[in-house]
Amino acid sequence: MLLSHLTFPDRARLGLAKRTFPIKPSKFMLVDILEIGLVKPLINQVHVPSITRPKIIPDFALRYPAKEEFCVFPPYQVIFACENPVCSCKFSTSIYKDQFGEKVLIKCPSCGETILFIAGNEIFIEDCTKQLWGEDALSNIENLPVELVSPRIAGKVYRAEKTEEAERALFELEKEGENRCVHGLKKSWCSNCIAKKKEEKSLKGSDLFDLIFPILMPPPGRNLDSPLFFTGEKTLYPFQRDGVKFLAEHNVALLADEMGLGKSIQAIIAIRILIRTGKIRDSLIICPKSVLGDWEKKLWEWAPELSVLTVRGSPEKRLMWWKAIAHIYLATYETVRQDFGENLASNGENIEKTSFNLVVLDEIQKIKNPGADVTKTVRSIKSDMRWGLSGTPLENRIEDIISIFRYLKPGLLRDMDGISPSRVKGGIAEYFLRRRKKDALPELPEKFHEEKWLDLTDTQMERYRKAEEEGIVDLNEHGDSVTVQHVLALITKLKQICNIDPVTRESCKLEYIEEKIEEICDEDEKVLVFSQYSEKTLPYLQTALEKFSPEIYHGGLSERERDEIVGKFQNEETPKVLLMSVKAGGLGITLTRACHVYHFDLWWNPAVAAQAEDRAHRIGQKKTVFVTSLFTNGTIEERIEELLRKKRALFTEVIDDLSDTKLPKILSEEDLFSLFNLKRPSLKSDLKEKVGDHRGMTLDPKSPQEFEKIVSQLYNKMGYNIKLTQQSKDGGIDIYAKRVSESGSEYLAIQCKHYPNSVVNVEQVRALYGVVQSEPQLTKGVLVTSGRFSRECKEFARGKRLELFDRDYLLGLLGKYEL
Amino acid sequence: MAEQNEKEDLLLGFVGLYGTLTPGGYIGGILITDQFGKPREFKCTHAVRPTAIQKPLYGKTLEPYIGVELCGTPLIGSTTNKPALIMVDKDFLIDIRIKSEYPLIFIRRAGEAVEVRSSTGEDAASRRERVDSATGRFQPIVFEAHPRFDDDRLCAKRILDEVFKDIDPLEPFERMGKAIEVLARQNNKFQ
Repeated sequence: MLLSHLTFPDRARLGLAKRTFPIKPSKFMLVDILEIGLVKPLINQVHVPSITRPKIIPDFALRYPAKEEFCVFPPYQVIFACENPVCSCKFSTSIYKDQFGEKVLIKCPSCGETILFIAGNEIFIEDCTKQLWGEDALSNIENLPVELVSPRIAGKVYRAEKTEEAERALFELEKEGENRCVHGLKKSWCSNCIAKKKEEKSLKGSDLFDLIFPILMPPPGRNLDSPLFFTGEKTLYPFQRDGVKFLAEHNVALLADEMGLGKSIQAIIAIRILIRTGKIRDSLIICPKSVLGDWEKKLWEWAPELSVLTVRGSPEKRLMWWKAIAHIYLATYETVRQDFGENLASNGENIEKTSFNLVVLDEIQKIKNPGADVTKTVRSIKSDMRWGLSGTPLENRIEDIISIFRYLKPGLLRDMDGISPSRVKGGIAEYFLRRRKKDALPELPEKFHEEKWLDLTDTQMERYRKAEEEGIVDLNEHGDSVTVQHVLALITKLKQICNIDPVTRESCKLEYIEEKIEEICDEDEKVLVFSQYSEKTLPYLQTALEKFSPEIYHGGLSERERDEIVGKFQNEETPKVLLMSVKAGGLGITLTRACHVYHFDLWWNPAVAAQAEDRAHRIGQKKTVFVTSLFTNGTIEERIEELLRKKRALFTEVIDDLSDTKLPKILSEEDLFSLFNLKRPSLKSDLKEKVGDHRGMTLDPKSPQEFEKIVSQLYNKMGYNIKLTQQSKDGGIDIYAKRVSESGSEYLAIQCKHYPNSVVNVEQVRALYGVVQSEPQLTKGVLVTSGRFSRECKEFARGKRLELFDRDYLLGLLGKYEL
Repeated sequence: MAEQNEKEDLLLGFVGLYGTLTPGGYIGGILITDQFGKPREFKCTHAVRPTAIQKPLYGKTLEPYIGVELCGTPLIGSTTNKPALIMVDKDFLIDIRIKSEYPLIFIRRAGEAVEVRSSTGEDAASRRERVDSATGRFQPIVFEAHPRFDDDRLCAKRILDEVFKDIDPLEPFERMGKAIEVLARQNNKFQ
């Protein structure tokens, strides 16, 4: 067999095809050398898949000449780049050999621009393979950046004066040709426009470069007294440095220093360290409304480089605040309850920011009640670190601590741990720090307690006895249906008479303190007078003590008014006397100008009184503080005090470590009944049976009026004083109910809807909410129905000052109260 | 009082080049502080992210090019405060001096080994100077100036003698690194 008879693959298999060489980038020719010289050489070509077309980068190919370049034959393909700078498109066209040396006009297919072209042999490359014609010859040219381009620059100048200049410039923009505002003034002259602009600016909060400013500050180091860290003469006490270290090193911490030892300052410095070292970026501080201004002031004094946003104002404004950038967001429990509560209800549609690096709860005992809305809302806020601050984390029961730690460190304590205080103490030891004034601040002036037992005036005594006798008769008339609310209402009435006779305005306590205040003012010292009755007692005291120009501080004042009063009392000569609601003035604020404190009456819980008097006995106080509690002999005050004294004796040392108060549970219901030699009526144990008796029987046949009557009786049984409104023109309210309890007074607006087997819709709940909103003195609105509530109703009521009682719940209450 | 004012006006610049949070990118930063280290001005670039083609094409010149041409020089040009001395913590950044009007030195902790990548590499060892903290609070540092700007050495020596007792000149670079990290977490332009 001749070799030439073999096919090329066969020859290749036999190893007879030995050499290959490329003829073009995309082709290879194989030559069978054995046949050279023997016969006419047989040339075989094998098609090799073409190599992917190269991408030519303009920085290499760089600029294309107007007419050029890859040309193939025949005909010659020439690529042109349009000379029109707007078009610049590339296109190819054929040039034939007979056009060489001639002037050819080429027209751009896109824009129609004409290019004059003279073809010359020298610019052409001859291509031997027809296969490379057309597309393959026209390389696709793409732009790929080789050169790195300069990045944009961002940043900030931090010199204070520059910022001020910029702010000034904001309002001095134009001088001439300035547009007039809607108020008809030049924009830079109009106070309304300037105020609006300022507000808009403040609503934007800080920028990103304000956020990193503390990180750019020199590191705080270990020495917290470094002048680089604090401005002015501010320094920390050694025990405060320990507290700062404790907080900064713990993701979960409860700082429970005794009141007046500067818990908030320690927290601020710890936050400052964490932010300056880049460990956290933001934090949320939640505090009671009464101390919001105090926190603002302390943050400004102790952490001036941090940007602080106080979230307050209208819901729309608050929404803006939550969106703004800041290191510290400062808000009250109520604000958080409203904003994040609604956020929860709307699945986070309102507030985007639902997590913080750190959440600090001042007076953390506010979330001790696990069922309260505020507790649920605060627990829903995500955070990496959680700190609690409280002088009295345990106000009443060991369960308070368990509840607090359920937020701080979920899973650490269980409900059953409450039976063993030592187990609770051991469990929280790692996360708990508490120092007492006597240990931490031996140099703090002493605090002397004194009880002053006074006799009621004759008129007062007469009024008191009459009220007590009538009250006891009334309680007895209630029989088994008497509740603790009835007892509390009577106690309140009697205590108010002990303070001041409501008719003659006689008061043994007033006579006493008037004389004392005169002496104190002569010595150029100041006095705090606390009472729990901000409406019944404090206004009367203000009138009676007018010669001392007293100011009243109570919960009804705005934050600005509160701050003004505190500032005036601390910094100015007058007022000499500050009359304070024990609840409003009991937390956070500093009133060290006073060294005399009078408790005109005492709250049920001594911890509250202690909180109040420590407004004066705290860091900054240079004089001994004299605290006097006023009691009246032979009255309910004496009996209550006696009961409390017995309770204190039973208090264990374990609990004492956790609280300022020595009271396991303030007063039980049995205790309260015993004040009037009454026994607490026993409740029927089998409520279910009772409920069953009522189910479907009691409510259905009633008319709307009878239904209202049932509801009013129920609330009366629950200890409320009831006022029924007119049948017509009732303003959307059927019943007003009021009661005084251990935790304050409650004022309800009740609307009854007798819709058996029917559904109450959302419009009716909206109407009630409108009434509640228009009457701020109302605690909440209650809608009671003999039917059911629609889903929209329940959703609308969630997180608002509204309560809905449907048929089942109402029957349960009727059974419980044996109606 | 006049002396105090003069001290307040002694500004220091720190220019650094940092890797981005997501690997492969660079961010340049400049921090201008007073002589106690308190920040007066901070500027940084958006992230520069060389492509897979650019990296091999630039080769070893990539970081110096980004650090000097793209970041360092424009950053210094963008500041409103005028520093008396600029310090860099990477040797190749010393070439920023060529296009900058301010005295500039490369600093490092004394005893640290350094891989020379700048155009000044040949006789750098002979130009290095050691400075000790007068208060002994900080470890000694070594600095070198650009060979074409020999006056910078004298100027830097005088200023470092003054400030090294209060601040560690290498510490502000750490601050800038942390600040850039925080910026990156907030805004993807710095990632």
